[in-house]
Amino acid sequence: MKRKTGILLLTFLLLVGGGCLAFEGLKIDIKAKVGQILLNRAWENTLETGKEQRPWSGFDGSLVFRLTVPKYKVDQVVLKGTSGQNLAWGPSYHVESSLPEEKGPTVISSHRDSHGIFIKNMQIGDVIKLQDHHKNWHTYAVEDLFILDVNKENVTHSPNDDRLLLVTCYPFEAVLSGTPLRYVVSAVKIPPEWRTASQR
Amino acid sequence: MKHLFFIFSIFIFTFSFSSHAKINQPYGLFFIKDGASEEGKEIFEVPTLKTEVDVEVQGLLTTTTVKQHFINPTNTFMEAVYLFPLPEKSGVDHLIMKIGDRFINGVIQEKKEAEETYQEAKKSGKKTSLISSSRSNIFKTKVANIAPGELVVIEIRYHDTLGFKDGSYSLRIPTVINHRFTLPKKTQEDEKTEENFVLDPEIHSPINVKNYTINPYSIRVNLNVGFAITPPQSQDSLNVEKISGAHYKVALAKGTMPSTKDFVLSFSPVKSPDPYIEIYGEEIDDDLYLYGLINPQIKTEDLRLMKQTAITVIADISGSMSGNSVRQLKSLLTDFINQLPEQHYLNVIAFNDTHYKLFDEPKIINKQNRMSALQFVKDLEAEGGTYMLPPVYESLLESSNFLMKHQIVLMTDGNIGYDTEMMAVVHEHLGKKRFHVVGIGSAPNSLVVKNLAKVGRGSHLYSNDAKFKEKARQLLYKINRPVIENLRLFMIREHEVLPNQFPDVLANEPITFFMKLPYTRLEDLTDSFSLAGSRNSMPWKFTVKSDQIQEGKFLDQLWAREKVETMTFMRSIGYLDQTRFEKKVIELALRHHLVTQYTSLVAVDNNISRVPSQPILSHQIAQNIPDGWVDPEIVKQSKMLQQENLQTPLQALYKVKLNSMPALQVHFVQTATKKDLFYLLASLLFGSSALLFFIRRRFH
Repeated sequence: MKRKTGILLLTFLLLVGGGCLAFEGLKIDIKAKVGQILLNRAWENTLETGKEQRPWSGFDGSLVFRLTVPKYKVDQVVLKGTSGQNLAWGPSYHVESSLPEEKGPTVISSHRDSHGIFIKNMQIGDVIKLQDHHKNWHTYAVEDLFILDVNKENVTHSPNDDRLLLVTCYPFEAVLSGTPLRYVVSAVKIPPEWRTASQR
Repeated sequence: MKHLFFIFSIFIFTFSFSSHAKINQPYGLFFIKDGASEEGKEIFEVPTLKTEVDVEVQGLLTTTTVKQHFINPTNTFMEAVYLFPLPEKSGVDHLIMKIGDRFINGVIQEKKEAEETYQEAKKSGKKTSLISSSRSNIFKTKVANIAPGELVVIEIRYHDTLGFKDGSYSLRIPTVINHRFTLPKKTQEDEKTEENFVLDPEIHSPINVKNYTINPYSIRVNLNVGFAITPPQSQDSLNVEKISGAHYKVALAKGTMPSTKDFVLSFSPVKSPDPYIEIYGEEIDDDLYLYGLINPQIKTEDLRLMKQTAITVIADISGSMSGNSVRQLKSLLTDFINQLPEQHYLNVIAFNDTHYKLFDEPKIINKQNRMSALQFVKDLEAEGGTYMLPPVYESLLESSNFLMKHQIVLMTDGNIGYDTEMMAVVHEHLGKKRFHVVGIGSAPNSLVVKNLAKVGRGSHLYSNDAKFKEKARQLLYKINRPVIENLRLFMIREHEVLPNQFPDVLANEPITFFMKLPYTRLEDLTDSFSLAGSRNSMPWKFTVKSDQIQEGKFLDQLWAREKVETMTFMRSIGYLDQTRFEKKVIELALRHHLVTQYTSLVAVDNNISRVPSQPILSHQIAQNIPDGWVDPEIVKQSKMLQQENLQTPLQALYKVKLNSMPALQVHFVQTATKKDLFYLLASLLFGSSALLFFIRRRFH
């Protein structure tokens, strides 16, 4: 009888522990989803008022642009800086790279298992759009997909090359985080005049 | 319930350890069976083609014939696709397909229509060839239904002008596409996939990563410029045959060169005291086309100083100029003011949000005025916005009470968003003034700099080094030592001339013009026409008699090409809208047989070579790796990728080794949450609790 209660208790403890861990996981998911909803609202308000609006009062960060990938129904607000906290809320812009309105590459990192989950499905030719603070849209088309090892490689700095790099960790389905490999989606900017030229 | 837990954990396991996504690209140096599925593709390796280039140089104009020999060594019918580079803006106007001893001429059609014609002929088994262009310097040849063991020669002709830089001319023949990156192209027109771009095969080519190069080029040049030149030179060793001081025949000493770099031939004119003028003419249909060249090959010491001129300098001191750019501007301007001769008049207008004028109107350079100008420049600081329109207006409307020439010099980085309005303002209010532009800083907006100077009938130059004294001297020479001013064309007959307003002829800046005389024959030109202007403040006139006109070739195509360029410019300054531009370009291109972004040349054989039931293979011919790229690492990586069947040779080119110079040091971050780990552990715990629960029940 005693042994039976012991097993029951152990089962119960395991269940509670599992529940706690599952909750931790869910928290990450919920944070990422709810955060984006609030950030989206803040972005809309920022564009409307022309002043930077906070998604909630305690938020410590700043919104740089909106990232959309129509094909994968992605519509996310990108935060400035790649701190762990920023990455939890949304894709993050590398401040060492250029802004879309400037010359040179723009680099954005996002979690491979939350905001950046669509990255692994991207194909050459997919369209990515960025909206900046001035409501201007910058359109990019994926030209190249590659994997690099951060211990050995980086990306080139071609100052006149307008491009967007979406970065996420690789391999995609690893359970543990912590890998030197990055999956990079490299997209070229489509100049506005080029786009109007092909419209009929 | 327990089963659910198991299923849940199994699901997580499989999900976590499933194989990585494969990156498959439809690239290759191989034949892919037309219409075959990815898995079932058959792979062949083939030799490719060789290219023969013949250049005729006539004045500053070149006519180049490119012969591409496509050979099918396989025992199947083939379609070959080949992307190749031509010089910027070259006007391709001719396509001949040679099969054995038969010739089939290409016809010009609208791009879509030409593609349809080609596809239809390909399907029905007729030999067919198509030349199209998606960018002004990248062209594509497609040849379908090449029989086993057959040779098909595609002959293309294009026109171009010689380049001119630092006192010497150059003829450039690109042999390899240097573009690393592409602009993908919109394919579907329906609304849902409004912006569904795909990789554009029009400008994207596979790369040859074999240890040998393919597609050798043989090049021959008949260099008959018409004026005395120094013997032509090139980095490649040449066989040069001298016919006269103005006529050379050039060929590659080795016969061929690998298509891994541009071929450049350069030579300088022999200086003479007078500008050199040459006119060529050709009758086509009912019309007469003329091409003229005015080349001021005068030593700078022989250039005479103008007595007087008024100069208004507009200095950009907006925020974008702050730092190095404004320091450059101040040094250049100071040197410029110091070098101004005493009889000249000067005014300086600096602008950012507002503008500041040195004087109300240009004042004579005496000691005192020079001092105040230098002080004005010294006090300039860059900050604030860029309101360029008001100072430009002001300078254009500045009254010149004097009889002297009034010239405006704009010094800017060209960082403005409303260049269209600027062009229009300068275009409309220029009057007798001249508008020169100096691009300041490391990356000035060259489009703004060039086009503003073009509408302003002036000259442009860039100042991005520390040789300010020399740059200021060069600028001043362009301003106060013109070779021929107020150049105009006088002709009684109806004519259209491009450009419709000539700039001044300045040192080291040759001028070319094109004319079309409708319903005219060469012998109708009984009355001579003339070019007139002023030289060294004296009237100057050059009369062209009809017997002085040399026989030209392909002048109508050159005229059409110039016209397309003019229209492109008109569109860029907002004088022509897109629809009308497109319509006009198509009209012109169809009439003059010109390949443009809206038109292609297509040739179709009448004979049927392939019974439609026989298979046809499609093959895109690779590009060699350009010479500058022969980084063994890149080649190795590309090879590796090819072997791994990840046929994206381009990908290695954006990735660089750590610590290599051009690296944009991106601080990569970990981008994975612990979410999966949590879920995995949770499911493990759930799983074991379920197991226990199960065991407990067994004890009962």
